[in-house]
Amino acid sequence: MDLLSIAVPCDLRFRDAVGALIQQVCQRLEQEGAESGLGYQVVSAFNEAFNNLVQYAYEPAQPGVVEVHLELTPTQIAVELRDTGRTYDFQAVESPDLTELPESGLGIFIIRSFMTDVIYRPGTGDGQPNQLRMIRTLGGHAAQGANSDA
Amino acid sequence: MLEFSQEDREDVVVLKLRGNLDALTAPDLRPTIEELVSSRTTQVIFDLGGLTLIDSSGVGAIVSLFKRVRLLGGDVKIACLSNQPKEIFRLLRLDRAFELFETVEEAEQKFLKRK
Repeated sequence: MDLLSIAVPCDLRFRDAVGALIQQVCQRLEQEGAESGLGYQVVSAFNEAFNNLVQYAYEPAQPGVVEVHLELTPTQIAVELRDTGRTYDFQAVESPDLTELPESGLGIFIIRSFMTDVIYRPGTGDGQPNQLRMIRTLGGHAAQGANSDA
Repeated sequence: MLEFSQEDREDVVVLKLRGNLDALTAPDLRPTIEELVSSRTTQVIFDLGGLTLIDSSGVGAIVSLFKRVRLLGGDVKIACLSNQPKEIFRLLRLDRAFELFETVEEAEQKFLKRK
């Protein structure tokens, strides 16, 4: 069941308002024993996902809507973004070479790193939206190196 | 929202950022970066003590200046990094590329020792 569902214009000016809600939920979880930094990491992933939609999903002149759904269970927090804009091949995006100090192309890496599981389902074109579901297991850790010093 | 100020100290430029450096605000910082590069500034300190949020676009702006100053034989140092920006720096291993300092004064001292 959703803890929070909100629909906002796909516009960066609305991103931080939703991010603040997610941050509040995560701060509460941290106070109740979840790992420190959870809020920073989940909000960072959300921000990058929202940025991608603003940049790629809709035409700038005709921004659409982004639905944000926040789910909370005793073991995980899930943030899902739904849009009806252009789809993209999420899986095809390769991890950047951090040793090269890239100036772009870091967004999906941040999402994958800070979240435990990321699932992208492209829309079917008949009204079914694109869905980006980002799950963070509580008491576990982020996925690819967020808590790694490797 | 991003607020930033530039302080020209002896041989060192301090850029103090407050608020969010992200996809919405990073373009506001770009003219300052261009100006620093065109004036061949080689010693820059980012004071990030007031920075509450950074995203990949904000990182891109800082890294852009870092690379270009390095090409000029200079360096960019980071001071007062904390909270969400610190998480991002750690994840992207920027804490290995940049020298990080607890205070602006410590970063400035490191520059002065190079002379």
